[in-house]
Amino acid sequence: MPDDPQSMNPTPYRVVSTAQELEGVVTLDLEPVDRAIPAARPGQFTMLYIPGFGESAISYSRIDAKKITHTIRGVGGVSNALIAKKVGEIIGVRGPFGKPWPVEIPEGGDLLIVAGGLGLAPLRPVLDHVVQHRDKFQNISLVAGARNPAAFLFLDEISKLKDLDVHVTVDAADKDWRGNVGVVTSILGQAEASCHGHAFVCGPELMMKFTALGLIEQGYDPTRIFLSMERSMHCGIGICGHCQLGPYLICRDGPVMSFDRLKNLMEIREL
Amino acid sequence: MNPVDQALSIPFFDGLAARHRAALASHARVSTFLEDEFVFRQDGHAATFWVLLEGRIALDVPSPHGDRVIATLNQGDILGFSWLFAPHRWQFDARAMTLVTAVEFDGAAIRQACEDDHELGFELMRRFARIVTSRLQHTRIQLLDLYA
Repeated sequence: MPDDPQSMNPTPYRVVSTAQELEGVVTLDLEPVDRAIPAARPGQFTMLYIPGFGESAISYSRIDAKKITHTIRGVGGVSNALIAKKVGEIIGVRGPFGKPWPVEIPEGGDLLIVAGGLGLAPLRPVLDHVVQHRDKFQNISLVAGARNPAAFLFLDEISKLKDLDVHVTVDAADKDWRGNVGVVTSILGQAEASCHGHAFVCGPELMMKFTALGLIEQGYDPTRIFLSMERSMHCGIGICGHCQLGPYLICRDGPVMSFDRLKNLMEIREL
Repeated sequence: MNPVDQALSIPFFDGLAARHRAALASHARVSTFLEDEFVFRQDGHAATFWVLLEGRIALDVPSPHGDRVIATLNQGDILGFSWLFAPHRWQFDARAMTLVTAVEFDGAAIRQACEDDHELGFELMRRFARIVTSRLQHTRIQLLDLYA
């Protein structure tokens, strides 16, 4: 059962700014109309509610004391209604829910962050955290991939990251692109972060699976590879069962989970 | 370390006998390419491979609708395996995206050395087969269109 009895009741938030990141991808900044929901940690998500449309689970793409930030791709009724919201409009928010990225565990060692496509959004709070606490880590590498340069989320932002070893790649490009071309797994070897550290991976499920397998080939321990899983979440608090993956409810046991718990489940067709 | 020794120190050559390293070194020389200079062109005669020491190379597919970059290679990578397999023709264009420093190996001479010493031939074939299978695997993953 949920600890907070209010967790099923949406809290009204007002849209205070919108930014078109890519075609069909919008970042919304929200501030509470009255009271705020509890503070979030990197990797957690909220359920965003629009009356008449429904709810959608969206990860935080930035964590701030005063506002919450979500980067949303319009793929269905609710998400398309969310990205069409204008400044001043009200959205219902429940959360934060789920297990966060274990950002303290890699401290003292190396951290590899691997993002694919929109997977960079749930990892951006991790990047903010490690930049803020840079002295607590050894090598930090970011390896990010996208379908093509026009589909690269936050490309300007990650290009300006200081004290981080950043590598980007796209699956296809024209001759104007000066960076890597190839799948994200093909440039994992460029990262300075060593296989004795930890890896945080977020992106489409197949990308995460091949990345995790590539990292194991490099010597990473599966218990040190963390993925952020995506399933159809409805209640967000481990009651309804919509987001079940084998023995886990992703909204409660995840979304961030270590690869040793997921590997076999990611190979079962029915799941 | 001189550039040829540097090239022969990449993991690709790990475990290679000293006499085989010496044979390869005797057919190696340093080469540089300016930004946007072509290293080779599609359908050209393939008689060389390179170990990249610095810079980035793009493999392009020429097209009337605009060339497409299908892969890039970086420091420590091997460029070119068509020199080893008949009909010895390049399948793509290779273009320097930056100033590139590489060590170039004379494929025709090394093929002859492999004929003379089948152990060297086996060792090289085994290593190049690993590159081919690795790039095939990356291409298969690319075909999955992971970010769709």
